[in-house]
This record gives sequence, C-alpha cells and structure tokens, in this order.
Amino acid sequence: MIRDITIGQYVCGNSVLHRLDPRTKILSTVSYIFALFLIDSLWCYVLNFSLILIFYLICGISLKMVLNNVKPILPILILTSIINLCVIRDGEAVFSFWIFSLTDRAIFFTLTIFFRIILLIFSSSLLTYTTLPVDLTRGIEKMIKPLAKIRFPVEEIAMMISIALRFIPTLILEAEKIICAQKSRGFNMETGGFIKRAKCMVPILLPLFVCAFKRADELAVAMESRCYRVGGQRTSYKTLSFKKLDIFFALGFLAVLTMVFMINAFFR
Amino acid sequence: MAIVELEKVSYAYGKSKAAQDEAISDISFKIEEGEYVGIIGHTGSGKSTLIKHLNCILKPTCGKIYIDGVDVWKNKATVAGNRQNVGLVFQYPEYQLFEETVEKDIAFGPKNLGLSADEVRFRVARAIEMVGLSSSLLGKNPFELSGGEKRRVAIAGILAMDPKILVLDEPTVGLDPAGKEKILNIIKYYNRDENRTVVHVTHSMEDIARYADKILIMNGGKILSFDSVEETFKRASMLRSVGLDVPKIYEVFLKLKDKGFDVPLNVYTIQRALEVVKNIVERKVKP
Repeated sequence: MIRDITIGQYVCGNSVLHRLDPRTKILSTVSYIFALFLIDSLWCYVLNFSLILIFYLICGISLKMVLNNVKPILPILILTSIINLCVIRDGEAVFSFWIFSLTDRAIFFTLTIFFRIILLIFSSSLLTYTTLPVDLTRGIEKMIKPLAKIRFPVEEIAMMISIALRFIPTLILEAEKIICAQKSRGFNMETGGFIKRAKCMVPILLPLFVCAFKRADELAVAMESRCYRVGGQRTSYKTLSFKKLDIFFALGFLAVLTMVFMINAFFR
Repeated sequence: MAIVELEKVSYAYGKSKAAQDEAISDISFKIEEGEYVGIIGHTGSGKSTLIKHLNCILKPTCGKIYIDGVDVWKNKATVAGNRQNVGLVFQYPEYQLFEETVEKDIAFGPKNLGLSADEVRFRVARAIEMVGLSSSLLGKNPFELSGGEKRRVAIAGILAMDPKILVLDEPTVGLDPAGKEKILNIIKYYNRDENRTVVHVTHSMEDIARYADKILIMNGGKILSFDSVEETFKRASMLRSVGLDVPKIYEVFLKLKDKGFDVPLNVYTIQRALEVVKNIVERKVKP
C-alpha cells in the first residue's frame, strides 16, 4: 500500500542525529551523496555502507522502514542491473554463455550503480527520518538566504516547500479514501494495458486534484486571515544555531569522508 | 435467510495481530432482507471499519462474512459480485465525482458492471429521479452544483448500480436541515418502496430514530447492543454510559412520565410527538 512508503517521514527520537542542526545534516548528506558519485572502489562502498548502518544504529531506526522505500524501485534497479550486465562488453570475460558474456568490468559497474542508488535512498531517508520537515525547510531557508540579495524569493520558496511537505500525508489519506470509494463503484485498477491503466487513473486523480485545490484555497484564506503576506518581515519561533555537537559531528564526518577518498585513491 | 451475516469478524489495521490493536473485534450479527439498520457509536468506535467490510474494501483478519448467502472472500468472483450487491456511500461522497457531466458520473458505476448502453441510460434516469433531482441537471458539470445537490448526485451514482444492500456512512453530515431531510427521504424511499436493505451509519440518534427498524450500537470496536429501536431506547442509561443520547423528544417524554403524566414512551420523532400530544389534548377536551 502507498502508506508503507516512508519517504519524507519523521521518526521521533532524541539521538545525536536528531539533535544536530538541520544545516549540518543537510550539508553532510549532500557531501555524502557527492562522495558516493565520486568514489569508484568497491571497498569504499562497503565502507560507506557501514557508515550509514552505524548511523541507523545510533538513531535507533529499524532498517525495515528504509527497505520499504527501496522496494518500489527494486524492479527498475534489477532491470537496469541486468541490462548493464549484458551490455557492457569491455574487460575480461568471467563467464560466457551463448552470445552473452559476463565481464569483470560489467559486474563491477553494475554493483557500483546498485550500491549508489541504494545508498542514495538510505542516506536521504536518514535525513528526513531524523529531521522535522519544519526544521528541514528552515535549514534550507537559512542556507539559501544570501540569494535574497539578488531578489530570489527565499522565504516564499521555503513556505512552499513546508506546505508541500505538510500535505503529503494528507493527500495520501485522501487518495486512499477516493480509491476505496471508486472501488465500491465497481472501479477496477489492475486490469488492461498501459493506456487503459493510465485512463483508469482519472477517477482517482481528478477528485484528488479538486480536493487539493479546495484545500489550497482554504489554506490561503486561513493564512491571509492570520495576516500572512508575501515579503513581510517574520521572526521564527525556533531559531537555528550551531552548537558544539554540530562542530564535532561536521569535523568527524569530514575526516571519515577524507579517509574514504584516500582509500579510494590508493586501493583501486 | 439473512441477507447480511457476520461471523466473529475481527480486523486490525497494519500488520499487527495483537488483540488490543483491533479496530473491531469479534463482531457477529445478522441483518434480514428489507431491514433498515442504523449503526451508531462514537468516533473511533469502529463503525466505518465495520461497514468497509460489507463491501470487501477491507478483508477481515479473522471471521467470515456472508452477503446474500455467499462467503464473500471465497474467490475473486465473489468479491466482484459483492460489490454489485452492496452499494457503499462513503462520507462526503461528493468528493468522488470526476466526470464532466452529471450523467456520465452517475453512469460510472453501472458501466463498470458491464451493462448495455440502453440499460445504463435507463438506470441513470431512474437514479436521478430517485434522488429527487431534475433530469435537466444531467448535462451539467457536477462541479457547478451546490453541496447538497452534489451529494445527491453521488448517492444516485450508487443507486444506479441497483444494490440489494445500501450502506451509507454519515450521509447527512455537513448538510443544512433541508438537504438532510432530502437525503433521509431518499434512504427511506429506497428501503420502503424499493424494499431494499439499508445500513445507515450516523452520529445522530434523531436521524435513525425516524426510519430505522433496528439499531446497532458500537463501542470500542465491539457491539454494545443490537435491538429494535424501542428496546434500544428503553435502555437510555446504557446509552448515556457510553456517551450517546436518546433523541431529545424522547427525553422530553421520559421526563413527562417521571413527573407523573400518563404518556406513551415510544415517541422518537417530532411528528409522532405531535400526534400523541394532539391525542391527549382531544381526550382531555372530549369528556
């Protein structure tokens, strides 16, 4: 069911990761993802993987949750892996059958891609699991604040992001309700070819859109009645500040990443 | 033979098997053909969960459901057949409208049943008449209608499927008194004149006291009582103990009786009260 996917969901807790400043976490995640795409030694992936596992252990979030996020893209992942295995021809053949042959390069390349995507999901999920959506947007807002000087609508964008995040669960619930209602009118989602199935989405998507617009309207009225206006000077209830913990974490994380790069450079 | 029969049905949301996580537990009851049953209970008492089972939207964690004598979860065909037999009107059904005309929207259900074009047209015409809307609305966009009209169109969409059992989840919520009245009359019509079974979930005792034959009271995922309207209201203290109320007019008559007036107690609606009071006045005047 749609509800099993937990992307963007926050898991309540009080671990070190939960207490970090959102900016530290965002920057760490971004640099981690950069590192993922720059390294090309299998050992480094293993190292990166164990690093993430340690983080999950620290904040006490079960791996089952994140595996649920991986599930929906698993078919695509497996398919691309198979294509990669068949198509890549350079390197030495390890195994060959009829017109297919598996080369060591192909295996290596496939594994790398596979690990990259899995770790991408693991790390970005970890960010949202340990950071409240509100904090996340506030962090982003602070980070892109300098752009306000060139008239970039920083606050508005931050507001849009937080509203969008806030309404994901609401819309999922709404979608489930609509699916139920249409099912009881004899609607069948599962049969037919691609175009037929796409057409089948209309009875669900259309009411969902109507509902989303209605909610947007109501929200706009609610915000205006509380004197929200674009470009207004607002203070926030919680202000972000870097603490000692953030400095320690950032330095430690940087050290680990540097180490990974060094290993990557020496053991290829 | 009962048209609806539940046998020790339990359901827990999520994957939990623990008894305390069950939204409804150990529910057994029978509804006879042509009965009008009101289901009442607090928010979270399991009413909505219960009726979703009648339409195979939810599969019970354990227990059996027989609709029209058929074990509905036997195979795919019985599930599909069940959706034909049972029409479920969800809360705020107007949110499920999606077609560009009222006609097309009402026709969505019958079309899914695989009926011929003629039959579909006939069903649509009949359904719009049943809900008391003019057939001139058929060509209109459903989003142009008023809230009450939209809801009646949505109910027509279910009635057009001609279900043997009509299940409604709080069909009058959020409507003005006039709109409420119209919906209640549609339900009554379908029950009395078309002789179909109706299951009506509501918060309002007044709503079901009017037309229901029996009342099923849910509390904490279990059936607290399932009895005729009269018997149910006789136990007013039990109702109050779970935070439910008897209809206001009934309460008035209870108090009158307490004060020593000789009044009957089977008064649940204003109309009935009016008759009774007229009777008493006439009796007092005549001798």
